[in-house]
Amino acid sequence: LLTRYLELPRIAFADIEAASSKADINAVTAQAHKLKSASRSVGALPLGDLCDHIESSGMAQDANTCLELAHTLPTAFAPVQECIQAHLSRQRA
Amino acid sequence: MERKGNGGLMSDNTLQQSSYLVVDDDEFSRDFIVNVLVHLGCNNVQCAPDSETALHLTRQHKPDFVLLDIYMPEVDGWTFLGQLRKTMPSAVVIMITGSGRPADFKKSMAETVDGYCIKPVSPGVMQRALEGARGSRRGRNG
Repeated sequence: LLTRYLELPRIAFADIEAASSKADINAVTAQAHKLKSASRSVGALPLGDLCDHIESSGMAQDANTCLELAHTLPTAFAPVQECIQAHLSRQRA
Repeated sequence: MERKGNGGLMSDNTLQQSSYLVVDDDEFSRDFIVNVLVHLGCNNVQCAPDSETALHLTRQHKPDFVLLDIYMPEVDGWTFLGQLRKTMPSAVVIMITGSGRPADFKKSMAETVDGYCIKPVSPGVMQRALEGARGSRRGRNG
């Protein structure tokens, strides 16, 4: 499941990038909702909180905040990815 | 007493023999919850991505436990709960959510919810939630 989780943000980021370029706030919000749920499931709570803020601002039609926060997602995901990959490596060893 | 190879969780097999319905619009989250249940030895688990499918499965299989997400598109968890209670008043319902908002907790408790879990849900947390919710439902049913 953790390996599967690592794939989700990559897909979400690509979709968010595409939606952002079209200023499609609803699509960004939907992706943030999906990523929020999965992130909190695996215990990536700060990333889940960031997704929650993106989703909330999207639902409030605050496009600027929504898109601005969405652009910070890859940076927020980096330590999560590092942590999970280290955990998986330990398991394999 | 049955001991599983999972760190001594699940000291009786009542929960293992129960049936479960997991309702969550997110596939990964559904699979995660199923994984936790299976880890506890609960293998009779069904899943629904939305309220319509969930109601259909509820009528067909009458699950003992319903594990329910709050925020879903179309019909949210609280609305679904109202529909569920009309067909299955005795089902044990646990909200499983990523929301730590006190308002969501209060609203869930004001409804006929028997338990409330905030993600991430480990097997230990899940077991305690299942046992607690079952006790709460028994109390409500008198």
